[in-house]
Parts: sequence; structure tokens; C-alpha cells
Amino acid sequence: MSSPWFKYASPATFYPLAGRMIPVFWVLAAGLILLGLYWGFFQTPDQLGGTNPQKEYYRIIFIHVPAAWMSMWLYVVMVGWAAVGLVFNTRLSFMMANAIAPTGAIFTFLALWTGAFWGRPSWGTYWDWDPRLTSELILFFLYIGYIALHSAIDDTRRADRAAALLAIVGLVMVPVIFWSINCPDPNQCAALHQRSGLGRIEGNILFSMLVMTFGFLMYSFATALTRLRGIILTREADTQWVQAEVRAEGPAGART
Amino acid sequence: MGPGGGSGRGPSGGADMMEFLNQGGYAGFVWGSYGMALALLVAEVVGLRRQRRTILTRLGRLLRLRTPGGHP
Repeated sequence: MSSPWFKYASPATFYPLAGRMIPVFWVLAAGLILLGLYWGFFQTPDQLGGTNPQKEYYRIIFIHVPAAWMSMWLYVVMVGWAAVGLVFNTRLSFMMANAIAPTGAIFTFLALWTGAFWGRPSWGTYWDWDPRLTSELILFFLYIGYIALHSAIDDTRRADRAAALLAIVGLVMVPVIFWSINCPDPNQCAALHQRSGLGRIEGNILFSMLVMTFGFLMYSFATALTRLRGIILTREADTQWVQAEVRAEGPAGART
Repeated sequence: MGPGGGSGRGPSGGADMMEFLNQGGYAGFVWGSYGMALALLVAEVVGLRRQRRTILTRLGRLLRLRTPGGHP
């Protein structure tokens, strides 16, 4: 039990550690996002060739794809912590899952929103019941359902377990989104999302896209850990160390 | 941007800026996407800061209520 993993599984030891890591993630997030935006707008071609050229609006890709990747990745991480919580009954794991959900929901909404704004000029419609759009919308509802179910149950332990089960069942949507392409060959049928590979993307576009993805990842670490610290304070409010922390940090506590 | 003089730089810089903002006529779609991303991320960060202050204030009040003679 002397492994560092068990040591940091305690909220009391993880709280200050998270506090030290958050500023690093903020700096990395800001730096990467600024670099990605600069590269995406000034070092990429204005149009993508082909018989059906993608004009300037393809630049939405620098938010759309990273946001969509984050929406799936954060869901997998959230389910991972929820499962660890169910199996090992560790408090901090459930709190992690709770802290990730709102950020995941935001990125899922962003993927849908930017997709609509990209779809209008390139496909002529804001929305279609394409398999990938539909499954991403269900993922958004799963995030909302997880948050709503958790907040609807007063007993925190029961809320943790019920919401974790819902999240685990919903995990089925992630591979569905990933492989949801109903038309492998765009010459045969009208395909909204087509099969693609990272190797087929122009170098500068791929670079900006990946930099933005890592920027969003760092942003997610920063926001999830900040939210986690709030959850730890609320749930451990009766412990000695939280009371000491509140006395040291709190705007009201500072006066006493 | 053209080289040299301050008089030449202003208009051409402005034209570059307009061209950039116009995004080839797709300004609404491009900035609509980036604007929503910016708005949501800023809202989340502001919300988290406010939440943290609220929690600390609330716990601080509870603490002073429970500690006898703890209030100033």
C-alpha cells in the first residue's frame, strides 16, 4: 500500500497536488491554442482542392475535429474513473468522473455547433440525421443525463453509483460515433462524413489540428482539476484539513 | 503589407485585416464557430472561478458558525 498511486488516491493529498498542476495546464493550454490558431489561419491554404473545393470555411476544422475528439476521449476517461470507483469504491475516482462531465458536455456541444456551421456552406444544411451527427447528439444527451441523474439523487454515494452505471452503459456510443460512416466511397453515394486518415491531410492543416487538440486536452485537464478541487472541498467539508484550508484560503475565513 | 512608409502601411494593413475578417465571404460561418467556442470556454472558466469563491465563502461561514468564539 506504499505505492504513490494509493497515496494520491486520498483527496487530502491530491488536493494540493492538483493545485500545483493547474497553472501548468493553463499555460500549456493557452500556448498551444494560440499556436494552433495562428498556424491554422496564417500558415494554411485558403482553399482545399479537388472537384468540390472546400473554401475558407474548412478552417472550422481546427475547432470541430479537436472538439469532437475531446468529446469522445473525455467520455472514455469519465467512464474509466466511474468504473474504478465502482470496483474499488474509491471516493476520489467518482469525484474525477463528476469533474470531467461538464467539460465533456461543452466539447460535445461545440462539435455539434461547429459541425452545423461547417455543414451549411459545404453540404447545404445545418443538420441531417447522418449516423455520425445522430450518435454525437446522443453522446451529448448522455453527458447531460449523467449530470442530471447525479444531481437528482441527494445521497452522494448512491448518486455516484447510479450515474456511473449510466455512463458505463452509454460507453457503447463512443465506438458507434467512431465507426459511423454509412458510405465508404463518396463516388457511390452522398456521404457527409467520409473515411479519412491522418496521413491524407495536408501537413500544415494536420499540424494545426493536432496542436489545437493538445491545447483542448490541456484546457480539459485544467478545468476538470479546478472543478475537482471544488468537489473535494464540498464533500470533505467536515474534515480537519479542509477547515484548515478554508481558514487559509477563504475570503471570509481570512478575517478570522 | 508593403514595405516602408507609414502612409502606405495604414490602408494596406486595414485591407489585409478586412480580408482576414471576411474569410473569403464565409465570415458568418467561420466566426460563428470560433465565437461560440470562445464564449463557451470563457463562460466555463468564469463559472469555475465564481464556483470556487462561493464554496470557500460558504465553508468559511459554516466554520465560523461552528467554532465557538470564532467570529471576529
